[in-house]
Amino acid sequence: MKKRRYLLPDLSARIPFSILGIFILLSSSITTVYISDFDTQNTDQYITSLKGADIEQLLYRADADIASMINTVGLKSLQEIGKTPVMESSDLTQTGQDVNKLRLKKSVVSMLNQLLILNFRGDKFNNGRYAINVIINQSQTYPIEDLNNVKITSINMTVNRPIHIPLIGPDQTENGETYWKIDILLKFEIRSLQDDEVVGEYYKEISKVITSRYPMLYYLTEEYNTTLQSLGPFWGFVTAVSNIYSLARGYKHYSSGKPMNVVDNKHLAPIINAGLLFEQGLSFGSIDPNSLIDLISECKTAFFNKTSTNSIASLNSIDQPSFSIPKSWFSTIPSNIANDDDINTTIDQCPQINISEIASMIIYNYQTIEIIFKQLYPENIYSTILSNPSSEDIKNCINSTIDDNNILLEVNKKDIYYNLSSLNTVNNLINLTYNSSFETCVIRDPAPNVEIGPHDGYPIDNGTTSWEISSTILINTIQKPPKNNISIDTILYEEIYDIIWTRSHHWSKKETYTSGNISYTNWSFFSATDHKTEENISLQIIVRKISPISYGGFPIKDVFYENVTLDDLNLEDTLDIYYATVFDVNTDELLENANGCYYPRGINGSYGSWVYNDALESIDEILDIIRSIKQNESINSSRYSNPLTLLEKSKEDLILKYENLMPLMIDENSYLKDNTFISAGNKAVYCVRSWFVDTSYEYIIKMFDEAIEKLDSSFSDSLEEYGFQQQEDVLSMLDGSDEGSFISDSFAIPFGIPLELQSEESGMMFGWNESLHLSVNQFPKYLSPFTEEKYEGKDEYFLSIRNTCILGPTGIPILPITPATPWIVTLNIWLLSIRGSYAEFILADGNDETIPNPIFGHDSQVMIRENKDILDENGDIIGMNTRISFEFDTVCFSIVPSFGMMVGDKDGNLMEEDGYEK
Amino acid sequence: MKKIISIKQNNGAITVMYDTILFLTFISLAGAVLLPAFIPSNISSSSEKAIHDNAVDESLHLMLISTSKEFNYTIGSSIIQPFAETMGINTSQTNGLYHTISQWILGKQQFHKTFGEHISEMLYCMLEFPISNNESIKLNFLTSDYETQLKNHISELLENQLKETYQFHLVSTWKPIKNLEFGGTFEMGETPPKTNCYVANQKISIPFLPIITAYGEVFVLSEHWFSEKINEYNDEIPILINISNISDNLSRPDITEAEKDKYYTYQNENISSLLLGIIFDGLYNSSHNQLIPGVLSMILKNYLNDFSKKIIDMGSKQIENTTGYAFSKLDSFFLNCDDSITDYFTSYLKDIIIENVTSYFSNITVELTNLSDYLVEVIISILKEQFQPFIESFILSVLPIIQSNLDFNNLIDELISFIFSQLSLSSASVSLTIWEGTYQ
Repeated sequence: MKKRRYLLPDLSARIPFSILGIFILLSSSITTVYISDFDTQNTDQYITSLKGADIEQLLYRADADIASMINTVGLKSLQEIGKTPVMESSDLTQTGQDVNKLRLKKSVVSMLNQLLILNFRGDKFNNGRYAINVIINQSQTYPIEDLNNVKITSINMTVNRPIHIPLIGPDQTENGETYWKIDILLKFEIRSLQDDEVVGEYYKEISKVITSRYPMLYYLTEEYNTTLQSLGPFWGFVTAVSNIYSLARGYKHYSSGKPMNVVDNKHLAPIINAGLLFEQGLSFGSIDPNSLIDLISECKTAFFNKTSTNSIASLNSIDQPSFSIPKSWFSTIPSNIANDDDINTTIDQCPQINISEIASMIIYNYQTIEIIFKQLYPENIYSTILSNPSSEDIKNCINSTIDDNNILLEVNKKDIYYNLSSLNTVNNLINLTYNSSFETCVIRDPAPNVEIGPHDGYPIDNGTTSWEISSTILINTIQKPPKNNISIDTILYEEIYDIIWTRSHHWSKKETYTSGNISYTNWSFFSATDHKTEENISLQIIVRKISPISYGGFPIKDVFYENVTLDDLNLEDTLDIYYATVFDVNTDELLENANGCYYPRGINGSYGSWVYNDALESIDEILDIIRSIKQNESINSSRYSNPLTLLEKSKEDLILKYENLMPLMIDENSYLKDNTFISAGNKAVYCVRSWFVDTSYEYIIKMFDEAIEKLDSSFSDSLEEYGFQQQEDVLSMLDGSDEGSFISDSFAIPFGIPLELQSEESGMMFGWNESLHLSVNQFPKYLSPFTEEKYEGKDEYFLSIRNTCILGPTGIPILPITPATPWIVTLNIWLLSIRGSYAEFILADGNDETIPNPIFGHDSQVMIRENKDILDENGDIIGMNTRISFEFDTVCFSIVPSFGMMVGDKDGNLMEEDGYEK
Repeated sequence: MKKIISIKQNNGAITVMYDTILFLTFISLAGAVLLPAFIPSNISSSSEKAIHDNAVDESLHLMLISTSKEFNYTIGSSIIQPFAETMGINTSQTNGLYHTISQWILGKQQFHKTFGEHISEMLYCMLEFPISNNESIKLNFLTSDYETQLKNHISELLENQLKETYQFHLVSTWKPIKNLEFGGTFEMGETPPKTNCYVANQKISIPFLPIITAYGEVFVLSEHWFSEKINEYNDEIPILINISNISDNLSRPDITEAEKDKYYTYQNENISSLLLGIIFDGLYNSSHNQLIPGVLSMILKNYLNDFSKKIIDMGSKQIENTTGYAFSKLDSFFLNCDDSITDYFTSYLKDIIIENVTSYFSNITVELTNLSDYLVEVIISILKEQFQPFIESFILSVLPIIQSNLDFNNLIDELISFIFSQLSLSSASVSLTIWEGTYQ
């Protein structure tokens, strides 16, 4: 029987491999299923994430593209708005810029709607899988119809101007709107192209900064317009420069009689145009170069009487981005040309104040004043002499004589004579120098020897009589000390006496007798003679004051000793006079009972005639020195355009020079040697010199102070009379400009310097800086009050100037002390009324040329200012664009010294008017 | 002692053999079952691709939204400088007035704009059109420096972004009308290899506004506007009347197949004419008065009128309002120096412009005042010829619309919609290709 072997009970078998195989198959199946499932899950997740990233990227791109579209339409809109900005809204509740913002919104919405329909409808914006479409609401035609979904936000930046001049230029730093950011709310759908179904809808506010700096251009043109208004920097410039001009021209007029028309509109016009360009340069960093060329040409015509010979080469040789205009164009040269001088001659712009005139008033008087006139046709010079005239007499004479044919040439002072009171002062000074004061002093014997007369037997003292001089014995006489040993309190003379005094001395004795009970008393009397001897009693003449004058505290050499060589008694005679008139006559009396000092007396001595003569000559010599004092030329109208400051500075300068010359004027060394006056006469002359120098000094200061005070009040009175309330402004501006660097030599007009813009967040994460290089274009290039410009078919003046010589053809003299003394300065004032405008003023952003232009790459953003009604899309007026214009009054002054010509317009036309419609 | 059993005598031997065979079979089956698990998943292969795709997408997007801190270029300096030298000006003097003013006038600077905006503006201002099958010209020769500077900036940016890992090729194209070699192209970078490249595409908007002024009127190049206009003139324009009549006939219930075929042929011809009219020639009434100008002619007129007007007005006030005052300033600068120079300069400039533009056109001399019309005519004729081969495919494309028996209004709407889908007036494509490799 075959033995059957079974697998399980088979002891030789292990676990069969097939069983293991089954397990391996099962586990591999499980592993595969698991990995496949895991893979499937990951794939799903991956696909989902790809889908999300895909959509996200598409959204980002849509945002960026729509932002770019907003910029495109924003730029296009601002380009148009910049050319036709509303400066004044028809709706008074809105500003011009509010209207412009509304226009921007409307324009952006209108154009953006078209672009959105073209690029964001019909699945046009897609990435092959998804598309972004802008949703148009059912009741609407366009994606954006509600302007409330469009917001405009301002981005401000700080403007830093590279050049800044206080008072006559705009502020260096300003903060203004630079960019506008537009936020627009839009509704989108995301559409799956594969499934042709909407995956989702969303709202999105898309923001974009419009890369045009139109708001800054708007701000800057407004700022420039403000700069040109009354009391603004342009006003300051015109005031300052016209004052330099009028002061210089006035001085020329004073010194030569010409020009007849001191302040001439022919010259004011280029000054105003230069000011406009100067302010343009400071405001924008740039100017219209053509205007500069025209200005140079006009300046040369007006001031040099020749036409410009500019060439490209000469302009190209300018190696700085600015053009300097020397101030002399407005001051020195005009005077020369007007006076028919040679072109290159220069005039002294320094209105010299002659202080020797003030000083000479101390010592001299003038009997008559000669006023010299010139008759023009036929030419004739004649004069009127006024005797002891008052200031009114002078003024009336001048005003009644001058007319179109008669001009004032000069005022001369004649018939000099010494001022008597001043001569008295000189005499007094000399007398005081030759004056000494003495006293007589008595010094007695402090312990005189008294001898009581014998009175033997008479013990009882019954008193004495008074002492009486019984004999006076002059023991010694001492004369004045040797030379150079005399000073105050020196004993100049002494007499020494012994004096014997006597008196009766009464004595008595008492004797008693007894007779019985009765006693008898018997008195006996006796008089003795006492003697007293006073020895060495001194009688002295003591000098208490020698030449008691406040000038010169030094001793006089050999005082009280005659200097024969110099013919100078040197006060010697004063001692003799005192001795003879005081000491000698009182000796007995003094000897009798005096003890101390008595009889103080001042004695005037005699002096030679040379002393007086020398004193007067010294005054003339000092006057010559004073005449040599010249005012510093740097103190002139160009530098100090405020007449008050000019006068102050003149005073300071002249006083300082005077002070420096005082030692020379006093000439101490001629009168003093080793700190001792050579003689009393020398001291007298020295004192007269000192007195004259000091008095002149005080007088000059006083005259200046009074002149300044009167000038100040004259400004106020004159300006107030003409309803001009800006005196303080005018003067403070002129004072401020004194230190202005532009006035010192020349002022530079920049024609292409970028302004620096700094964002408000500058320095922070999102802050940035950028530059703004502007280009200016204006019409007319040069504003002329003499010729009309044709603009839009109409002839028009774009500049009007009226200058009125307020104080008449002679001006007014300041500080007439007396009719016979000179006034310090003559003043005149011109009231300037200036108005003007640019027909067109165009400002272009030169370096951020941001508006796409198919021909030139990019266009500048421009801002045009002109008079124009601005219409909306329906043709209704929504506002006005307005011209850059200016209108203000200012004044300029002229002060000239006394003598010579007085200052004023003498061409017979006190009110010069140009640029007004006839 | 171990008992030795021979195989023949061993009854279990067969079992072991079967067991082994079964075991091996199961192992093999298990291997087969596990095989899918060992094959690399789709994710890992596609993730590698995704990294590259992501890199190119990111680079393109970043580039398009990046801004350059300083972007400067000059216009027309190649024209002005030689002219100035003929006037005796030392143009090499860097601190001279000429240098200052020319930099001020001709130098341009851009702030805050993204490269995307720059590219779109570049395309907008470099309108290029063919003059033959092989040649094309750029209308604008003043902005060559703009293109150069833009390429330099973008190149620097992309090289920084892509490090040394990738090379790139960037091309941006604006073709307002599909299939027409007319528009602008901006291209830079190395030529890409044929394989292993990663590409990102994006649409960007062109600063071309569809509201344009031509022929003294304002036109809006939109479907809506065209539909309205066609509705307005459908009784006056013969083509539209024809299409309407044929459309009515085709919807007749008793129409035979032979008639249908005949009408379809007529309709195709009319629609071809409508297409050419809308794009090129414009639509006319029976008196041959143009009622709706062609899109292309409007675009060209808009461009070229502006162009020739600016050249003609060179030196006059009008140019100041349109050209950033550059030429006016320079012109006026010369004017004030010597009157005769203005004429000299403007004629010099105009000569150069005419020479640049017309030298391609077989020795035709043309007056500047007629330049615009001349160019429009020439360009349209070239493009129309170029467009002819596509008309047939266009008809094939619109055949389903024609055969759908729509009424006239719906048919016109569908046609206009289709035509506008072929236009890309204010949208350009930009494409960045990167591939692994290092720069030479």
